[in-house]
Amino acid sequence: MEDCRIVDLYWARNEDAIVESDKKYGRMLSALAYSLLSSREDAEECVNDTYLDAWGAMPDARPTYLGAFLSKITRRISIDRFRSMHRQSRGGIHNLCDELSECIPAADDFESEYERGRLADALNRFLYLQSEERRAIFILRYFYSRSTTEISLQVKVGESKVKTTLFRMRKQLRGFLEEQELL
Amino acid sequence: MNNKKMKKAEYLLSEIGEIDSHLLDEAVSYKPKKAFSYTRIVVAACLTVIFAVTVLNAMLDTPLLESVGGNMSGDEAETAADTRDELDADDSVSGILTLDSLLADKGMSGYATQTLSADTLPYFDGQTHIVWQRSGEERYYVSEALTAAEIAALEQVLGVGDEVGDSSPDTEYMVWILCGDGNVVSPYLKESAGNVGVGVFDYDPEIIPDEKLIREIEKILT
Repeated sequence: MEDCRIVDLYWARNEDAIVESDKKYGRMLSALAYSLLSSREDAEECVNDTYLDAWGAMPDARPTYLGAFLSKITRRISIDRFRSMHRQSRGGIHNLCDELSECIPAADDFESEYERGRLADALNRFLYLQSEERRAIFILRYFYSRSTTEISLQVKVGESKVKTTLFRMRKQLRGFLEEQELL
Repeated sequence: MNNKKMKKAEYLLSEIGEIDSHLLDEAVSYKPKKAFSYTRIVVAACLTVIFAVTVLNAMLDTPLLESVGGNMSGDEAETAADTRDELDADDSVSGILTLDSLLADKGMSGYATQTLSADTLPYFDGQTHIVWQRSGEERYYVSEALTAAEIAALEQVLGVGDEVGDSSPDTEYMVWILCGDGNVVSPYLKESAGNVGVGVFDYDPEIIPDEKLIREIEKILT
């Protein structure tokens, strides 16, 4: 079913909206939550909470890209759950944070510097400057938490190219954020 | 990594969640564009020439190929016809056209190296396996781990096939590919992020697997 029709179901408060969302995006959302939390039970709960949140958000919201809309919710819930449960295990969010820490200089007082919205704007501007392939690699890794193997299969490049691209983009992002005086 | 840096990295990770939805959608459905190929132009030109010659041949009183001495002798023609017949016969004898008939041909366990229950499937062994289950059964049949060359060959043809239309065909076998990192896909589904599962999953076929894919799976399993 097309996204606009599923959104119409949400707006009509028709519970088939959840069924159709799960049919179309359930596996993707489960994979996203699982890759962040490394626990099937937690991932399943996050996906269920996603549909609850989406139900509450629509009407009012009328997303054009339903998959991206739901993914954002799942991702946010998964990261919040990770924080609240003080996860010690490696994998998932830990690995992503290890990599992203390269983008951040050693500023002591970062909270005042990272204004919400400004950093997100800067990230979007940074990504719009990239080629479609590089952008896809970055987003698949740091938003969708895909492994470098999965990314290489989708983008049809070697795994070493994926890793090199990510390494260079992290360096570029750091430079970009410094230029924007966000750091 | 110290606590402070971890906190900053988590913050950045969180802000990445605010990337434009349009970019997210673009990334998840990204497929590399096919490179410009001179080979295709050459092939297209050759086909055009062949087509033109065929049409002219049909229109002329004296066929073009005959007039330039392309006529075969009686024996040569017979040999060519025999060869064509052999090739046609080979195709019909070896013509396994569906995954169901491929898996049924050898018997369910004919290709498998192990028979497992759902909770013992090798989702995380770092290796790729083909897994299948017959309708109504609880056991899963698992192939040997695929080699890198087999994985590369399979990924070239995965997701290719005719769409099933409004009503999905009934298949006797459900087939999945375990990627070794928890992710699972199926040759009956189109290639998309929404069709990557965590664990074996129920699905309605979206495509009829292409013959190339079936032959590839046949090669892997034999």
